[in-house]
Amino acid sequence: MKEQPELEWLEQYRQGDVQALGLLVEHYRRPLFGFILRMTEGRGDPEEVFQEVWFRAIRNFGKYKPKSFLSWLFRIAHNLIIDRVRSAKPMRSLQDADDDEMPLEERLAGSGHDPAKLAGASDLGKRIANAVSGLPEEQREVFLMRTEGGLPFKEIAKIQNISINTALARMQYALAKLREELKDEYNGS
Amino acid sequence: MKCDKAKNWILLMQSGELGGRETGLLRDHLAGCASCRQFQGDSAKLCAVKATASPTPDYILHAIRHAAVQKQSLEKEERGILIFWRPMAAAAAAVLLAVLSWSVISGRGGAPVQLAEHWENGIDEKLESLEMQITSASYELEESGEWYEEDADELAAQLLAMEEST
Repeated sequence: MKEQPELEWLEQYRQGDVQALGLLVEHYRRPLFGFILRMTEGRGDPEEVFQEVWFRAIRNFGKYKPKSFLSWLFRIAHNLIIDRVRSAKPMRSLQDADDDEMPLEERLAGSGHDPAKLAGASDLGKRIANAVSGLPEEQREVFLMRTEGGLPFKEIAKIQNISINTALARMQYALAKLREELKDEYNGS
Repeated sequence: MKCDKAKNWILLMQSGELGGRETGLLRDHLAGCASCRQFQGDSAKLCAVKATASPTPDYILHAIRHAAVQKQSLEKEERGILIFWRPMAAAAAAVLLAVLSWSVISGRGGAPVQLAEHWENGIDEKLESLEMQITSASYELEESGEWYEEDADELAAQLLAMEEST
């Protein structure tokens, strides 16, 4: 596969081939949806956010400069999630409020987003997924951009509008907290 | 090298952002630092687990495609409008330019001077008519003022008469 297949698909789409857009969506679905899924936990419908990211992308294809398409999508997702947090739209129904006493794992399983499924179905994956959801927002975002999107720290720093050293520090804090949360797992292995 | 810096470099090495020289220095540090080796292992292990996203539901793909088709048809429409109006605007500008050039070259001042005279005459007429209106309005005001004064005098007289009678 070509290094930047999105350029070809974008060109095809510009020439009127809507099927090329389907290829584009499918190509970036896994990292983008994985990121959104774990960033929006308890704050709304990840599928809706995923869809909105693509709507915004379609509206702004003209502004895309051929660098990293995935970074561009992540930047859109980042802005969208921030907008949602600012507008304080937790999108929880009354029924959700009754579920507050349930462990997060069960709540996610009930919502169709099982942490075990999210994280490769292994026990460690399940525990990591739960631990990640407990990280502070900025650290979680750096961690997920790195792990789900494989974005370099230079790009992550640009998206979060911080220095690369701050991005690295956030990652270090995130890893330290996850290590602490999962110490039993590590001591056992 | 301090461990904090080494840990940053470990992260950069794992993301493929560390230069060759720095990688060599980091390897030297790792050879003698168990804590950083531990961090390297933990980081690799924790970062390896990714979410397994289920396939995108059809309705989402459908909605995205629908939005894309709409955007494309809108762009086509905009392009069509531009294609139609651009030559029209260019032709109009050319005609205007030709008229202005003709009036300058012929030295008569032509249409613009006539237009200016007409405009000035129009303004004068308007001003005159406004002055007339203001004058007649002020007369009316004075007359009505007098009428009110007469009215007030009469009412005062009635009031006085009532007070006296009581």
